[in-house]
Amino acid sequence: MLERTWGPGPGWLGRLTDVDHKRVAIRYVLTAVAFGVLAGLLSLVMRLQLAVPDNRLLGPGTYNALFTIHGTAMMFLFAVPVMQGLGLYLVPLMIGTRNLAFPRLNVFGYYVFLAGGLFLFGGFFLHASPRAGWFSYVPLASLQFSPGKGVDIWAQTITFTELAALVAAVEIVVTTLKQRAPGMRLGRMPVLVWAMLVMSVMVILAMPAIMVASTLLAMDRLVETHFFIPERGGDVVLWQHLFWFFGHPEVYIIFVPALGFVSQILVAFSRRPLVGYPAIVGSLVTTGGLGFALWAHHMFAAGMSHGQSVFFMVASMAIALPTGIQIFCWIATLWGTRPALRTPLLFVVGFFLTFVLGGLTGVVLASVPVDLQLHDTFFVVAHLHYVLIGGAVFPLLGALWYWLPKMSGRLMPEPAGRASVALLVAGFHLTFFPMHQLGLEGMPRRVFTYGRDTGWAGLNLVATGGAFVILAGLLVYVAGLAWGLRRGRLAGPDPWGADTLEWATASPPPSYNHAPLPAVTSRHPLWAPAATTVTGIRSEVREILVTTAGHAAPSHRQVLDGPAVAPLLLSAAVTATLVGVVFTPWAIVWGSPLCFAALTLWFWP
Amino acid sequence: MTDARAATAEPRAAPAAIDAARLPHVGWGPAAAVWWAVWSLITIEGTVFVLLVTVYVYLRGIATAWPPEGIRLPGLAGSTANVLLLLASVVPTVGAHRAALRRDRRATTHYLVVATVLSLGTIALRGVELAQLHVRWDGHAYGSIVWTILGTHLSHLVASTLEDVLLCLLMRFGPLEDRHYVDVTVSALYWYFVVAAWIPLYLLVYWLPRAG
Repeated sequence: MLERTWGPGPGWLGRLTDVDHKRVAIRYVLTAVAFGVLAGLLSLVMRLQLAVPDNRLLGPGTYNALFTIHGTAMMFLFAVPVMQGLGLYLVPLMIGTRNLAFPRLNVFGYYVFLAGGLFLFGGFFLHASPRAGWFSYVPLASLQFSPGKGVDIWAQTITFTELAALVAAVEIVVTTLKQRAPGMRLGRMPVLVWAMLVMSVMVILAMPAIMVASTLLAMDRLVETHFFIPERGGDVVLWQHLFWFFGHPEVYIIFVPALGFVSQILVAFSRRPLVGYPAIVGSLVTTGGLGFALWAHHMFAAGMSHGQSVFFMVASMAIALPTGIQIFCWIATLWGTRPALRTPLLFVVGFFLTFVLGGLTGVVLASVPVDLQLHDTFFVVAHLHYVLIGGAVFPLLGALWYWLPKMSGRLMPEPAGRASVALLVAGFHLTFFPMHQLGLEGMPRRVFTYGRDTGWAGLNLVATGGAFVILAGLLVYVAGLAWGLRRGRLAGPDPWGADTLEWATASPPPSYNHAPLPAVTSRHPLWAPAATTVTGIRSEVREILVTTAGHAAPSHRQVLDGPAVAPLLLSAAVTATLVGVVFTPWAIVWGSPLCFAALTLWFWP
Repeated sequence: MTDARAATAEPRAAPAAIDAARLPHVGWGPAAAVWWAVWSLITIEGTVFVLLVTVYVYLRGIATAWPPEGIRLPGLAGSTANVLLLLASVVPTVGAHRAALRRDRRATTHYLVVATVLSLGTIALRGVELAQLHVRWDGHAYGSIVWTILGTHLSHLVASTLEDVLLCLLMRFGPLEDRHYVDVTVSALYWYFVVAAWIPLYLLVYWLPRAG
């Protein structure tokens, strides 16, 4: 009965319109990974270009396009969506509900994200690529210095992806606050759910800045406004403020979910409750808040008053504190245990080694005089990859290995996992550690080649070699997954002996997640002696239990929306409008009625 | 046979199951998921308005004259009339809000129709306001930001009005469920936001330049 109620419709239309959060989330993750792979391949081409001095493999224009697409795709099409995708998969399972609060909206968000990514890469392959860097600084990104459609495509890709990111954030916030299992008051929420909640609130507060910024830039280019044109009363540093008011929180939007992964994995493999749960949750919230107070440390070189630089310098150093607190809590959790050193935990160890170094260079760069010296050098490239790959990608790879048995029902092969950790960590440091030295020696970022007399050839060759070791590590990882998904040992509901609700149901979980719906009495429901359940929820309609935001006391029952075509039509109408606007402002005029028609169809009962 | 099945059916037997069967099938205000979604939307859109105010203040801060030389101050007639009309539109919106809480279909419909007519009036007056700005968006950054502020708020007026039209049609012709009354209440909430957001924007665009 439950399967008939919650399963997808028949045929290909049934698949396209399926509102099961798990299927949509897996599409989200796979799409984000595909864009990430493309962006990663571009970086390999860049490393080949930089392997030897005076290389002419690429011209300067192509090189500019490559690093612009690499950065844009990694940030907007890979890192944020892959974290949100995992959130959309895990949050309903971990809080014990059947689906997200707005199932159709979630489908719409996915298709908008897909369209945005295809638009950017479509432009790249049709030689209409943006070339002004992932942050599109004006005046370089203005119509005068970047003619053609490249920057417009960049700006519109931002609009697509931020719309999708906001949709996913609202889904996670509302689902987390209203659909937790009875008894799961805020202080009993798994740390990962806390992390996803903090990330989503950050998305809601930060993404509007980049949507405003990219829209103003597009208007400057398309309808001749003058926000960023100094001769007509505009200002170029205004762009930097708007961009980094989003851009710095963005780093934490990516990093905070990764902290959640680390906490969940540590608890599962050390088999004991987290030491300092309140301190860890407090640190996540503090990190989220402080993340909004340090955007201008990207702009020390653009010039600002002494008082301003001191404020942003102190704030940038202060954010090391909550992260430090978490690291001490994790060490205390592991202390004296005999943790199971499986692949997910090994990735966490790789995270520790790498991220701590990246955090330290962050404190170094936060110092204004040092930053002025190192700005726009490879030292910054090293720092940002240490924090983003070390801080987010390693935990992400560990998290995938950890939750794939839940998603697929099969365990991944340990030998491949261990080999990939070794190759990835070694390859990573081989690639990026030399960049610190290159930066100190003055090698600038975003320049397509360097002369033989600079003396930078040796370290660059090492870095390029390291990039191929990373590639080898990823191939081993993927081969492990491919083998595990077909031949891996059956996982059963809870292969790791973990404590949270997603492990209470079958692997892979059925369309309705949990039957019956769970109620909880502790922070570690699967380690508690006996579980309580909820009865009286109808199974012939898509009914769920809604609970109160703070204490998760039962409030009422609600019937969720099922599959419909309207979200597809709306995403098609939005896509047509946003793509059309790049070519003519009149697209708003014919696009809006299309969107309204699709919305009417959506909401009419 | 049946005994064996009963023993294995629920290995983690529930000591005290929570019975949800008697719980209501609709939630109002903060109990409803959609209320939280609308507040999320208000937070997003509110952030957009704060950013536009910041851009305005920033551009004004670097300008030598504001409005720039040769540009007249924005007209007060249409804009002030529109503020009054927006405030007046809150009255039927509150009426619809309260009628929806009572699940009074007839009264909800009537108030919604009045609210829709008034919001159509605010859209028309916004056209007058744009004509009385005495500046185009493509002459100077001053024109760019005032057009963007008025235009962004206009898009909220249009979206809310279309939503009102849809709710009117639903109330008049549609198959109605209780949750549609919840939709009326959260749509009213959004309209309060659209009106409240305009007050500081109006003071910014029309009175800050006059304050010197």
